[in-house]
Amino acid sequence: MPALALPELQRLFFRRIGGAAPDPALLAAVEPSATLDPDGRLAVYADAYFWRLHGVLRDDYPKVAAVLGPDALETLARDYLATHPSDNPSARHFGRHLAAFLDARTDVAPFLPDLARLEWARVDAFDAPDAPALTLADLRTVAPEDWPGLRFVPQPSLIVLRSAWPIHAVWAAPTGKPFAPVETVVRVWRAPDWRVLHGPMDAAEERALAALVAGEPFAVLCETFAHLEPEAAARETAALLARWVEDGLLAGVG
Amino acid sequence: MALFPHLGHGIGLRPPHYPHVLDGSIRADWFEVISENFMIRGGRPLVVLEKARAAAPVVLHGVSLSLGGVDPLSAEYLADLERLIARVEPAWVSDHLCWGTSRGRYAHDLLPLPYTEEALAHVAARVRRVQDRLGRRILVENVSSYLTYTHSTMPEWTFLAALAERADCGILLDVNNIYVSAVNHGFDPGEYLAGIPAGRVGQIHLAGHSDCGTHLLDTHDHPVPPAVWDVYRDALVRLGPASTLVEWDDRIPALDELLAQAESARAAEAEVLGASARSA
Repeated sequence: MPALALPELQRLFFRRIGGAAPDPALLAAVEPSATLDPDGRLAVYADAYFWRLHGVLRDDYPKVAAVLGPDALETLARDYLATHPSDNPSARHFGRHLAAFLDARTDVAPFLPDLARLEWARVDAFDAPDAPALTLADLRTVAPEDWPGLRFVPQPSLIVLRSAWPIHAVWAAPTGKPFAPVETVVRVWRAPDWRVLHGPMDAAEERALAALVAGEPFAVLCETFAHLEPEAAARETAALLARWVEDGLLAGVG
Repeated sequence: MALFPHLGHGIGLRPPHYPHVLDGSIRADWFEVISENFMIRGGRPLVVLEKARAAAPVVLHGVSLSLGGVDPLSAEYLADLERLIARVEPAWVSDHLCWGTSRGRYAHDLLPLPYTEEALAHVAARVRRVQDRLGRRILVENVSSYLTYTHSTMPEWTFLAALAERADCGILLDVNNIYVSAVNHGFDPGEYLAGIPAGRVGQIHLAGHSDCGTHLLDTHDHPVPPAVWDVYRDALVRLGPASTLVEWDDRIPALDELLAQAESARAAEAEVLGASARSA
């Protein structure tokens, strides 16, 4: 059998580590060792390939992994890797399709895709672009007459997720037990001390934060509390802003 | 004149050590970081990297360049690497003698090349392209391997030495990888070292491995074992001193234990070459 040219060798090798049966030409190109036959030696690479990327999924999705348990995670990881092999020099991006991949499956808990979305949002927040943190001291320098028109810049790491499931509660107690559906909105962000945090929002906070992210000024944010007197609405909105600032959610005004 | 400076005896910087970098308590001759882990938009790792760089020299060690691959070199990856180089001003940049991609898919592994004239010409041309793009000489590291090819026409050390000359690159000599491959393929580590041109070696890697029964596996999850220290000492005798780095990537120990391994490397160098070795 003629020697395999480099392109064909690499094509057949990659197919083998991806789980395909070894091509005879590839087997003929591999020397046996004293302890392993050619395919046994290729299997060392096939195992390493799978378990390394399995480990990437497990590390990026620890709560999904906990819900599934080791056996179901291994099955899922094999299916996922076959469907979405890594296409980036950094394995950091490998798991980005998992939530959509889970959407298409009927053999997993119904909340699992959104739990995966929450975990992936945390991955994205971890290395999101940096920005300074807006402080309460910054806000105290704003003249009273400037407040109605004041706009706020959220941290680049901020991600808002909606789910029909209480994904923050599943995240906190990731067992296989069923959860009752609850319409849930969660914010995910990276705090100034680098911790990635998330928390659920009630309807008022969700509306006000959506207005802020849309670039609306403080006066429009106050309309969240339109059922209150204007002064009370401004107080409620200011209290929300103070909480966001203390959480490290905002990057500045502008 | 040496192609690369002697930085001393450093450690691979990994996330469990980050708190020691952030609080300013870490002390090491130099750090090696995995380039791909810092090709990110923001966050704590980049702050850690800047603080580490302020404390000691840093070198960038890549795992995804796929110097031996037949896929085109990734322009996006090289652009990211250039940005990282501008940010870190590393003492040098390294990657591996292997391939890791096929048709746009990444193995995230260091896959073995056949040692043929075809592969040598291919890898040398790619190393030259990378060096031209980065405007600097890179170091190419020998990898642990678990198979050899029937159509190889030269041993790995001959291939590596020829690559260094043909591409005018440096060598990152991993003595653990030499030992692992020597056991797996039945060659003498001394013969490997004898084939390496001393003037091309800019860095030495030390690490631990695992015995799987049928083969040794390059796991980087153990202290450097005695057999690898022996190869290190032999390398120092044959090749002279080189910046040495201890890698530990899994089951990472407390920082003190890792630094103690770097000190053991320093002691081995002094023992083998005499205390004046570094100024020689």
